[in-house]
Amino acid sequence: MNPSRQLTIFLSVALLLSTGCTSEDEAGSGALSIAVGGGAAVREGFPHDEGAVRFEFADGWTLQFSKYIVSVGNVTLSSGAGKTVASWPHVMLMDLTTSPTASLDLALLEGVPALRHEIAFDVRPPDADTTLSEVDEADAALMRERGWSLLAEGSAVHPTHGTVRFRLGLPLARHYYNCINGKDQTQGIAIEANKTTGVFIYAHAIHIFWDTLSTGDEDLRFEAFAAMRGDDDLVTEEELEEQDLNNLRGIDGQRLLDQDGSPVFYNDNGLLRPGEQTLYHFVLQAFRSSAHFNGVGLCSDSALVD
Amino acid sequence: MKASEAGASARVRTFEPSVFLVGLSLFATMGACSEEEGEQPIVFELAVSGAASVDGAQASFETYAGWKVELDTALLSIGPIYFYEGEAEDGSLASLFSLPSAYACPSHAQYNKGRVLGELLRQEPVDLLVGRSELGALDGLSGRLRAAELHLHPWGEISSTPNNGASQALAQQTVLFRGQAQLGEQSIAFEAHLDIPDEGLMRVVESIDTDVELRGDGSGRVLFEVLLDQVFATVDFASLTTQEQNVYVFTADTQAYNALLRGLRSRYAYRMSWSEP
Repeated sequence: MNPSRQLTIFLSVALLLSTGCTSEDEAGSGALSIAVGGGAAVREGFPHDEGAVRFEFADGWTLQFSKYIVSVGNVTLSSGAGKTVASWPHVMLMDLTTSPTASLDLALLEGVPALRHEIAFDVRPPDADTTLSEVDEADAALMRERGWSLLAEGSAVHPTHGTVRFRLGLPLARHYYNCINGKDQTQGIAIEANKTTGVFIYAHAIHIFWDTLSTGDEDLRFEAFAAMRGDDDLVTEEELEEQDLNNLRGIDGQRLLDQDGSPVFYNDNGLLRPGEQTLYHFVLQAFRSSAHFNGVGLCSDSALVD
Repeated sequence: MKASEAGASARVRTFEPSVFLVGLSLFATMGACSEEEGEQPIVFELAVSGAASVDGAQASFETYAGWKVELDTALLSIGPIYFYEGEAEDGSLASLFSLPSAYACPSHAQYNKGRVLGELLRQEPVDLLVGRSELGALDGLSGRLRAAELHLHPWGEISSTPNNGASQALAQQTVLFRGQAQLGEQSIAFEAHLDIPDEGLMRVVESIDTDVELRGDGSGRVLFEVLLDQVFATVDFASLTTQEQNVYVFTADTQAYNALLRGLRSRYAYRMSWSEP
């Protein structure tokens, strides 16, 4: 065999062997630490500042959370081919207001191949096997009974309208996957060998008070919630079902108007069907879009079928 | 036989392991990290029509709220329209098989909607009660159309076709509906002549779900239907308070106006189908 043919065969074999990506055995391994955070909204309420941006209600309300309990779990890391390489097949109920940073640890995955992986997780109602993190058993029992994956409680204050308390339970059950990493805008997460990489699932609480499910021209509002309070000055998710998005009422019972006197329009982005066009269904969809990865990285989502 | 031809013939007959390995390697390289795209440039026709979501006359329908509506005018300034390969948010396949459904996020970046398989870049004034309005041929790519995005701007705001009767009646608004609505003993003559507020993406109807295979030689047609019973689904005509010449007009301070706005923006108020002769 002449030298050039030998060289060609050698290069071809080398190319063939290199066509797969780095194998898991060759990559070494690391660990992944996963937390769940609620951000400044849970920590400080409204108004709050994030960098140069002030997040405050357009209708003059201020608000503080006393509980922001989310039910999160079933974290999986998978290769590009869909093979699961590590998982945490549990669900944890955690009250993010109990932490000074509004962040609590969820899971630690060890022995993870030091490669880039897709990450997926669930937001799902708790069951009998769900572990509790800073959540009392009474709240856990209520959430299990009602099928809620969020229990948000707190109070809002308006200089004219006074104080209105809220307790919102939302029964979301969604699987989040194909997540973009909010820190570097890449898809998934790269695990480094012999290191623990930290990531967080962002329960972006601000969403539930935005007046749009679309993009742009969003305002934070609370009056549509406050208007549905009962005689006990408490508003619950049941009362939000009475707030018709096509006929929004203000706290005075009259048409809900913006600061400039124009009618307020909650933009559902064409998502809510007839029969669902209420503030309750709007907030449920807003909560659905509030789960991010590592900052404001967006994920695809689908309904949980089990 | 010439010497060069003899050589070529000899090369064909001889198994050459190095060539085989190079070919195998390149094939494996291509397959390792990407999927070959199979789209082909195509031309397809686009038509728009008014319709009802269930069988029935397009000008006469009963709404979700129980009103029986008879339309005598239904004009809409329609377009641009973008046809996407990506799955619509809450698309039918997503709900059936738990497939991906991406979503937008206020103040954050929007999700990638996938490749554009076709697009109508202008706006057209369409009479929704005259049957099918042919909007002409569009250049596109073959593939599976999974979602559409409809833009609803006031007539004249976007590059458009020359004026016709419909565009003159629209008079720089987006829709003009006239008709009669009845609920029990209550009968209301109405007119809705309005545009959609230019705030954020209010004039864009995103994620209109469909599952249509675009293919063929230019003879295929996408029929884009406006489902009028869905547009008026939750309108309470009794909320109208302002009359002009014995006709109630839609004003921004009414439930009817908000509900019509929501109906026009509803992704469930539009339907697409594909046909070939």
